[in-house]
Amino acid sequence: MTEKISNNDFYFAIACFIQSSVLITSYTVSEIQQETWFIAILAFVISVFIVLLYSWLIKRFQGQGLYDVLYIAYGKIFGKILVFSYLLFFLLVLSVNIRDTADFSIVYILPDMHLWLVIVSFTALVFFAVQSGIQNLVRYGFVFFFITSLILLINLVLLSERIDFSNFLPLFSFDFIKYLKGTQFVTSVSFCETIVFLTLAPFIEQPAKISKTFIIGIILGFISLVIIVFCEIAVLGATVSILSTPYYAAVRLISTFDVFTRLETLFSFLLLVMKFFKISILFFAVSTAISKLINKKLNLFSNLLTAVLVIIVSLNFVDSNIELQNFGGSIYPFVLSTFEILLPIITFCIIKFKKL
Amino acid sequence: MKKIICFMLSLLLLSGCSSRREIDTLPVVLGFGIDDRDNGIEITSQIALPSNIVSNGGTAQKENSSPYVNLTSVGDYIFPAIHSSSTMLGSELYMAHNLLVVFGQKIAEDGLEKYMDFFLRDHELRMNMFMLVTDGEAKDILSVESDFAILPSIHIAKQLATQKETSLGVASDMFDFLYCLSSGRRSPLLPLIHIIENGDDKPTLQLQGTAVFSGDKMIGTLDSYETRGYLWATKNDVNTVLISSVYGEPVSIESLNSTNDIRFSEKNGKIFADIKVTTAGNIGSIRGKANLFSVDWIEKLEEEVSKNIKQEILAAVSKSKELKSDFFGFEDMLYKHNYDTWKKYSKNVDKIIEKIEVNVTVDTKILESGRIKYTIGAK
Repeated sequence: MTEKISNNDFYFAIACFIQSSVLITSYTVSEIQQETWFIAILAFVISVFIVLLYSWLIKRFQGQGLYDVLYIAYGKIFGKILVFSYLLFFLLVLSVNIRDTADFSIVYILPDMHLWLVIVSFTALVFFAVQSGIQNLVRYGFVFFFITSLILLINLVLLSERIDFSNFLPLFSFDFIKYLKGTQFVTSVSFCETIVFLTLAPFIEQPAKISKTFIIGIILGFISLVIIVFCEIAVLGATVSILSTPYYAAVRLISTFDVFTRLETLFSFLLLVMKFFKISILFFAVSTAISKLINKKLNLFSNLLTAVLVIIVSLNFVDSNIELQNFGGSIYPFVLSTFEILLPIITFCIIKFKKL
Repeated sequence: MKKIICFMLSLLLLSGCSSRREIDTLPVVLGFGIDDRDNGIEITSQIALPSNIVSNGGTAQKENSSPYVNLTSVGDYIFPAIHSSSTMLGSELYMAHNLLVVFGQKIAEDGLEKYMDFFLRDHELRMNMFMLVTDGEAKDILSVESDFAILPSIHIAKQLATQKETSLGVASDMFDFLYCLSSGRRSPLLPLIHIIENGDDKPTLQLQGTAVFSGDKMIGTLDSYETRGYLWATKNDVNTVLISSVYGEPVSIESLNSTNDIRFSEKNGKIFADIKVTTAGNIGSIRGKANLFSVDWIEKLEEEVSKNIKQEILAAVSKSKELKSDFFGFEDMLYKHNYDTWKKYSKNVDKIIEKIEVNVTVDTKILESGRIKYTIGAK
């Protein structure tokens, strides 16, 4: 019998997944600056409705994962095409995250290291984690979430001497289109990437209670996002517009009594751990899609194939970190919105229309 | 199969640290100086030599040989010049512990943005390093030794930290400067540092006055009183010593805490900034025959102190208008608290500071007279 994941573990895993997405929020905060908090609230409200849609899908087809639902809703041929599309989508998200983590490691931690070596080592680690059972990893979400929350709170306290509340002013000073773009970005990048958890749906202990689980998960993730955005705006003010990693830059300013300094080391550690968690879940989603397409159970072959694909794509889909940043701020959010918001809504309509 | 994978991975991951940098050979930079030269810029990097510093009961002391070396290199731009220093040294400079950057006046007048870019972009450097301007050579500033600190950079950083605590002057770090440039609504200020020659004795360093910028270019200076005027209006808890005269008798007042509040209003095409400062202090010393138990005398003292503070603030405002440099950050405050007014004026006026009329109100309260009730000659 397949090992189940309790609903409590599941919402900590969702919160942990969102935390790893929001640790780097440079795009939104550089565009909307002092009003990113407002965007965060808007994005959260929209995301609540979207995750309720995800929950409905899980409850409607209990014991089935995302790919099974696609087969049911779209039939064998279109279902296969859509499963393949989701495979490419999760592979892209996975590669962006691995590349981002590797670039961060090279810039801030291991400046003389080769990019390929970091990517291969990280992928190997993720491969072993998924191979050992994704359920085991999901259970550690609770630990990762509390460590991250604790470090975020410590940083908040230590940054308090640099906080300037006037940095949140003026209110509502940007064009409507900027709010729209910002909301779309935060909704798709920070919250709705949790669509990946639909691939874990067959392992949920109580699928009937999934709405509550999803909502608690994104509330916990939202609180982390608010703390991070608060620190960035209150401490950095107008400078957020030019910094590539604002939260990291804010943490680097901590110098309390000349004792608590260089706390960015903790942040770097945190980022690597959280990215490991997120990347492992995405890795599982890609591997599951491969096994669904070849009609085999998840096994060593699909995991190995995923690892090879990830290494190849993340090393080659952009030439540099500058290209990755441009991609992240331009096309990427639209790709995310298509697969995280548009397709699930279409799927919902088809299911309702066909009365499945 | 598993054994082969483990073996291959251990080859990759357990091969040791190929790019390691040992601490005893690490050229740790604690201060940079940047001067203008005919053929480009000259960078002075102050590098600590830990092997020449001995520990004595927990306190670091100098050995007979110098505990630091000042390495200079010339280049067209800052990055190649620093690279050239690394080549000279045979090891890459380690800048993560850098405390400060001293700019020569010519460099500051030319504009600091192009130099700051390197300091902000490099992943080792931090934004909380101090920035200073000198009217002499930055290279000379980094060569003035002190008996109070083992390295000149450490001594200057200590002076600046004390200055920040005691409000004797501004102590800006790179983040403060960057904030001003990023917002575009506040002009930066940097502390000025000078070398004081002491005859046969060793020269010493003195922080006095402030360099005023418009954008990233230095355009003038504030003297100590104008600097304090700026601090009264913009910073809370200005901890300083004021000398006021009551009926011709000089009284020293130690200001313990102060608060300020700036409010804006608009009338007839002008913006009015009402600065209200409230301060409380103790009597430090009196020369003369003052009667501290006279309500009239205390009220007169409070009035005089308020008048002095107001004069200092107005002197700083006058300098701000004269130089057309909004170092008070009036425009930034207007942007944050009166956005509609800011929007109206920012479109039509090049410098909002020209449109601002400043009113100053100071309220002083004398709290303590110290351990003696009368002056020595009063009884």
